[in-house]
Amino acid sequence: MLGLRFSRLVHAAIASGALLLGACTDAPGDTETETESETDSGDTDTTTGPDPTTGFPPPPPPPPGDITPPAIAAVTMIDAFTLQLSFTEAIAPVDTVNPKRFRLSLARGYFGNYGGQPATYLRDLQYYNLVEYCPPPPPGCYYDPVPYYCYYGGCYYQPQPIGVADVFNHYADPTQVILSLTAPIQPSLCNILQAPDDPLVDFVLHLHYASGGLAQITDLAGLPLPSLADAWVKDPNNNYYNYLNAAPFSNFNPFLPIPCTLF
Amino acid sequence: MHPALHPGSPPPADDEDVEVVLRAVPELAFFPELAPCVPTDAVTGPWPPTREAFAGRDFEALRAAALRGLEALADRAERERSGGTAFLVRTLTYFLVGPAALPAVEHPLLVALLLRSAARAHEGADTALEIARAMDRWG
Repeated sequence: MLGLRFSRLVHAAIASGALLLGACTDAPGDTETETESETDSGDTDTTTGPDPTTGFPPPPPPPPGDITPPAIAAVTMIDAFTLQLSFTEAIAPVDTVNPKRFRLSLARGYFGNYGGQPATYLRDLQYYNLVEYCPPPPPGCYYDPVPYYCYYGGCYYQPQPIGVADVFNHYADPTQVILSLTAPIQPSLCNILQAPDDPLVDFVLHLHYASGGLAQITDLAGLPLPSLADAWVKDPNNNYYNYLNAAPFSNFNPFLPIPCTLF
Repeated sequence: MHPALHPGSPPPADDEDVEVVLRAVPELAFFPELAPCVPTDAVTGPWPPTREAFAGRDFEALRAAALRGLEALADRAERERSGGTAFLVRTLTYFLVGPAALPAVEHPLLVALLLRSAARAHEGADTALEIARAMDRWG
């Protein structure tokens, strides 16, 4: 898009020095002084190595064990009640992990630059996960002819929140973790993921995770899974959260939209 | 008015500030210095127009007029000590003429001016907000 392309060109021009942020640069003398001092210190660092005349250097330390924390590689839907998390390595038992460390959001990204700022808007799933509810008619309405008061409108849709009910290790694959949900994913939620009305807007279903404290998700070496957009988890009573003035979905690291494969 | 275009506004300090200032282009297109730059030839078709509506046109006159308008805006920025306006004018000029010049349909200010010319045929479209929305849908 026009704004995004132009923005990239501008940042590249600034980085190359062709464009300046302010009207005036710093005094050349100051810049040179800073450069020289940095260069000097760099030279000094280079010459302060071990003296080769004092003997053999100490043996290198033994190679460290696992120093890479686990990361989520993908999140997929198994069925309407179940999500599967694929990790980059085997995960320790998750029996004691509180499922409230996880939360799902419907994230809406706005890609425009001029008609609105690029941003990510998180919304609770209940506004999009709608269940059709059809109350039974009152007993009198079974008679024929049907009285006028029985034409009450019939079915309607009501919101249904979705939380994470439980966390399990996969029975066979140690790099997989299963999340069971408190309510099923409905077609209405998948519909909005697959057909946004506006080409400048994209909707994704995304998982959030908060690390820290005891009983968190770790790999077999005890290294914890880093948080994933955890502000949404730490404020469970808030159904709205906005990341303004940033590239859409840049708050997710890694960005792992959950594709809807159910309907 | 966009805060970056106010008198006395500071120049952008980092990448995030640059992004904010760049979004002021639609409002800059409504400054009086750029009013003579809006093309007068009519554009037919629905609103908002796409770049295809302007295919095959010669934009050199528009480019020259925009350059004059940006020079006048640079004077205004200096007079009003507006760092945001000065940066935006410098950036738009850099990509308007010279080795880094962009095609007219890729230059945000020229696109805004072209959209303003098309907006004349549509009631209520010649506003900064409508031009901004049309720029987002320009492609």
